[in-house]
This record gives sequence, structure tokens and C-alpha cells, in this order.
Amino acid sequence: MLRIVFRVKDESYGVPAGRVVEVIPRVLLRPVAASPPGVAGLFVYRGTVTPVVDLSLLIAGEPCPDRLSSRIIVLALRSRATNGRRLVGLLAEGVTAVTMESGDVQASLLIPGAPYLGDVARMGDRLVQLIEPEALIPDELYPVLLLESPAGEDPESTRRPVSS
Amino acid sequence: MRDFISLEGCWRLIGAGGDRSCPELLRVVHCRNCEVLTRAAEAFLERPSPAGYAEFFTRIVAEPPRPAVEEVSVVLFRLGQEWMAIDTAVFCEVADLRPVHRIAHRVGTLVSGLVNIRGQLHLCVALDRLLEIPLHAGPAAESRKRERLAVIGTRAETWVFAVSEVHGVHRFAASSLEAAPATLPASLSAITRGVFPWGERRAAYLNAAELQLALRKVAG
Repeated sequence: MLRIVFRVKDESYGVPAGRVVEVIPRVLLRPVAASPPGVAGLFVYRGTVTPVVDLSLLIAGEPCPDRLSSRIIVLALRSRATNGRRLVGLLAEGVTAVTMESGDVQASLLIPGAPYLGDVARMGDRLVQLIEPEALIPDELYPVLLLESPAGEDPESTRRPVSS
Repeated sequence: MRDFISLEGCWRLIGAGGDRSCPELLRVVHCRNCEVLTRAAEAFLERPSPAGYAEFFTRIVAEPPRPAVEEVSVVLFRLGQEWMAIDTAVFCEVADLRPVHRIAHRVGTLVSGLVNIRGQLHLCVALDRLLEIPLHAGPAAESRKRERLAVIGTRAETWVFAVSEVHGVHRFAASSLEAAPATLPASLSAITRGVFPWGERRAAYLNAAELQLALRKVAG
């Protein structure tokens, strides 16, 4: 499978290229007050307001450094509850290559609290940890990013009216 | 991590952009295959983004996508004074002029003869006579340097015809197609879907199916 490879603190990770809508340069993000850690902010992607998750912050606890290779990977995430789709940007460092997995994919570790860290594949002389996009977003971030309302409530009634 | 990358890299001095004296060139043939250039390119992207970079792309990325325009891909060619176009999908190749071997008892008809293109014999048709467009109109001194043989058709059946000039592949918006004007020769407008603007000129967009039908009748 083709993977878009990125880097967090010198270690390589890969997301399935088939799930990626577009890789764009790092743009200016509008921070959102009171948003959970990991959410870097909002930007307008082709006319649609899109949230961005800082993978460096999520995985290593440090914000993504400002480099030319720091880019936003735009993915379409499926909502677990409503089966709808929403674009979510993943900000990561060292997004410079699309790589074909050369060897077999092997199980690595089952880390509690980090279900997104999946199996490991050998790409060249590196070990690349594969990322499951759906598991990447922590459970508590899911409703935030995908605009899901708590179960049993009408999403329209809970959404705050836009102040004029 | 953040090595200083000089623009006077080895690829400009002893590599493909220099005097080609680097011994590694024997192995990698060109610097673009060499790990040194790959590492330099990676290091280039390790630099912080320049001023105005994020602002520029924030604007670019925010633009709504342009509505998709239905486009038609055609090969443009000229027959005498008339520019015409046919779907790229039915166009096989453009060949240089070469001898056409006449077939006995078919002299003077719309069949010019047989022509050998890369070992394959193809039927050569006089499209200019079929469409009643003089191939050598205008000043007699017009150079025949641009004349070519066009090969169209499918794997199963192909036709070859001489054209005055081949421009190449061109795309136009399907919405820009207009009805064929009355000034178009009647034989041409019969197999024309319409005309589309091409720069200062207008080109006739041929109906490939109708043209193949007409060619099949000629070959009959």
C-alpha cells in the first residue's frame, strides 16, 4: 500500500495515501479558544472551514516546528456515529515522500491509550509506524472535529446559533 | 540536522551540471539518482518557511475549487484552407509522407492506394477529394514541408489520409462548440459536429463516427 510518510521527533510514521485528499503547505491557522489539546486551529480549505490536528503535539507533546517540510495532510474522516464525512487536516513535519511498503507489515506493540499507532512496515532501512486515520483522533476529539453531538440529542438543537 | 547547504553543491561542480568528473556518475548516471542530491533536497526542506509563505498559501488554499469544465481533447489538422479537429481517441499517429502504392483499377477514385507504416499496410484515402476541399489551394508555392499522413481508426480498422499540416493535441471547452456556419463546404458540414474558436481561427470539430462511416463506404 502507498503511504504518505511524515516525521515526529525523528521517527517515521505513515498514513494510507488512498485516504488523503490533498497535501498542502502549512497555512495560517486560526486558534480556537477552549479547544482540546491537539487541535491546532481552523483554516479555510477550498471554501470549507476545516479543523487541523497537530500530530506532533498529539504524538510527542510538542508543537510541529515551522519548516518548509511541515505540511497539512487533508483527510476525509468518517464519522463513527452518523457515517458522515468531514475533512480534517493533519499537521506534520517532514511530509516529503510517498513510499510503497517494501516489506511485510508486522505487528508492533499494542499501546493502551494510543490505538492509532498500528503495525510497523519496513521502508528502505527505516521502520515506519503505520497510522490508522480513524483511530488517530482521540475519542474525546471525535465529536469535536466531526460535529457530533452527544448521543440522543438532536444535532441541530444543540448547535449554538451563530451570533450576528 | 540543519547543515548549511551551499548552492555550489557538488552537482554544479563535478556533477551533471558541472564538468562531469565525479566518479559516482558512472554508477548513478545522473545526479538526480544520487543520494547526495537527495539528502541536499531533504535538507533544503528543513529550513524554516520564508516570510509571507504561510500567508500566500492560506489565500491559495482558501479559494473555492473552480467548477469543472467539460473539455474535449482533439487533434487539430489542416486540409487545404480548412482547420479541422478529430477526437484524440480515434487518432492513431502522424507519419511523414511516403510512397503510396496504387491499386490496379482503383486509380482516380477516392482510394489513393496502400501505404506502409512501420511494416503495416494501411488503406490510404484521399480525404481532400472526399470532402471536396482542394489540398493544394492558394499560392502554388506553398511548401509541402508540413504535409503529413494522418492515421486514424481503431485496432481493427485504420485509415490513412494526407493532410496539409498537423498542429497537435488541443483541448477546448465543450460549451464553446457552435453550430457549423453555412460557409463551410457542404461535404464537410455533413460530418461536422460544429466549430470551435481556436485562437484567431475557427476549427471544424469532425464527427468521428460519421467520418469513419464515410471512409468505410469509400473502402467498400
